[in-house]
Amino acid sequence: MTDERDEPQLRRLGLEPEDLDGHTIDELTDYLEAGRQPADPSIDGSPGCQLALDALERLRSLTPALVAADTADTGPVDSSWVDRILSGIAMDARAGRRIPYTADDERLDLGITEGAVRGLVRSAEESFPGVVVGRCRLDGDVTEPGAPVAVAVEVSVPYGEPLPRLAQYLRTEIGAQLAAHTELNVTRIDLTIEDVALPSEGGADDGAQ
Amino acid sequence: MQEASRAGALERADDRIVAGRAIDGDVDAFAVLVRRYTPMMRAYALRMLNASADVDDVVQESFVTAWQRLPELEEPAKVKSWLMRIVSRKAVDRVRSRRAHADIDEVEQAAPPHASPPRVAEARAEVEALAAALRELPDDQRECWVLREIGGCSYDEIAEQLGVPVTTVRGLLARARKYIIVRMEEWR
Amino acid sequence: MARSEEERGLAAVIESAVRAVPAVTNVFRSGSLVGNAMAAAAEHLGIGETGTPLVSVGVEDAGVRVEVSIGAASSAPVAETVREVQRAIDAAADAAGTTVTSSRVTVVHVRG
Repeated sequence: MTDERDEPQLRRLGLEPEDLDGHTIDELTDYLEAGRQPADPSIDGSPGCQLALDALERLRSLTPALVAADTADTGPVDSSWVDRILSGIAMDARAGRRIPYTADDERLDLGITEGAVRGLVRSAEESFPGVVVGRCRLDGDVTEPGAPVAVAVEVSVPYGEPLPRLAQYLRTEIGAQLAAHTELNVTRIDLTIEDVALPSEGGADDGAQ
Repeated sequence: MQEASRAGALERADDRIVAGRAIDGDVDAFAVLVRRYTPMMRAYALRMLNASADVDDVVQESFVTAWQRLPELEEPAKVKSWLMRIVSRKAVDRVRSRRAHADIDEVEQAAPPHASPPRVAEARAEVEALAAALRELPDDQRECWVLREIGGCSYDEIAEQLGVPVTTVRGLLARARKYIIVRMEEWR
Repeated sequence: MARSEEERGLAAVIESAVRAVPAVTNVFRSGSLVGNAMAAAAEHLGIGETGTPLVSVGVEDAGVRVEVSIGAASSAPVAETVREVQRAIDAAADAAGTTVTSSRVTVVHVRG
C-alpha cells in the first residue's frame, strides 16, 4: 500500500495541513479526544478544521456500532467451544496449600487441598438461591494442625435480602461446612458483600470497568 | 435441583465476583468468562487479523494464556480489558508470523465468518462501509486503529505491542483515519 | 515381573479399591501436591477421563509407597472418607501380597 493511491483523494477532501490551516489530523484527533479543551481559536476558527473534526467525530461514533455488529456476527458459544478451551488448561497451580487431617499412624499422610476447601466454602451458596460466593481466602497457617485460621469471603447477594441476617446465615453455613469436612481451627469468618445483584440484572456489562 | 439456579446466578454475576473466583481456581467461573467474552474477543481478533481463518485459534490460545496468568490480575473487576490486551497481543503475533511464512499476499478480503444478510438500514450501511475500509488498510495501520479505537489502548501500549516508536503509531493512525474517512465519503 | 509392571498392576488394583469407597466420587492423577481437579469440572461438563492408572505407586524392598488424589462427596464427613480410603489401600495392598510403607491421600475436590 503506498501513498500514490491515497494522495489525490485526500487533497480533494482536505485532510492535509494545507487544508487545515497548518494543523494535522493527528493534532485534531488529540483535540477531539480532549473534548476540544482547552479551546484553540486557530482550530475552532478554521472551516477546514471543523469539517475534518466533524468527519473524525462521525468516524468515532461508528466504532461502538461496529463492535456491536461484529460481536453479534460471531458464531455460537456452545459447550463444545468451552470444553475445547478447558481441555487446554491445567489446574495444578490452584490447589494451594495442603491442609492435614490427623493420623495416628506415621505411615499416613492425609490431607485436603486449599482449593478443595474453597470449593466447600463456595458450596454454602447452594442454601441461598441467588447468592454467589466470589473469592475466598484462608489466612493463617493451615498446614499446622490447630493453628487459628481466619476465613475471608467475598459474596454477591440478591437485592432485597436483609444483609445482616443473610450474612449471619452464610457465616453459619460456611462454618458448618468447614467443621464437617476439615479439622481447621476456624476462629473467624469475614464476609465482604461485594455486589448487590438485581434480579434481572446481567453481570456482563461495563460497569465493573 | 439447586444446581441450575446456582449455575444461573454465577452466569449473571458481576465480573469482579466471577473473575475473583476464577483466580481462586474455580473452573466453572472461568467457563463463565469464556462464555461471556468469547464474542467480543472473536470480533476483536477478526478486525485485527482481517480474516476469519485464525480467529478461533487466537481466541482459544488467549483464554488458555489468560487462565495461566490469572494470578497476575490484580483487579478482578478489570478482567474484560485484561482479556482484550491478551487477545490483541496474540493477534499481532499471529499477523507477524503469517507474514513471515506466507509467499502470497495474504491480505484477504474475506467476509466475516458468519455473514449476516444484506443490511438495509442506513446506520448499518455506514458500519459496513467502515468495516470494508478497515479490511483495505495495510496491516500496521489497521492494527493501530483497532488497538486504539476498539481496544482503547494508549499510544505507549500500542507502541510497545507493535515494537515501534510512539511517533510511528501516531503517523499510522493518522493515515488510517484519513483513508477511512476518504473511503467512507466515496460510499456516501 | 518387571517392577514397573508390578507397579502398574498395583496401581490399578488400588484404584479400584479406592473407587469402591462409597463417598469417593473420583480418582485424579497424582503428582506433586495435587491431582488434576480440572478433570472434575471436565467430567461435570461431560468430557470424561480416559482410563489410565491414576494412582501413584512406588515399589521398594520394604513394600509400596502409594499416593492418591480423590474427589469426595459431601454426603459424608470428608475426614472419615479419607480414612476409609486409607484403609482400602491397606487392604488392597495386603491382598496383593505386599505392605504399604507410606500412604498419602489428598482430597482435591468436594462435590455437593
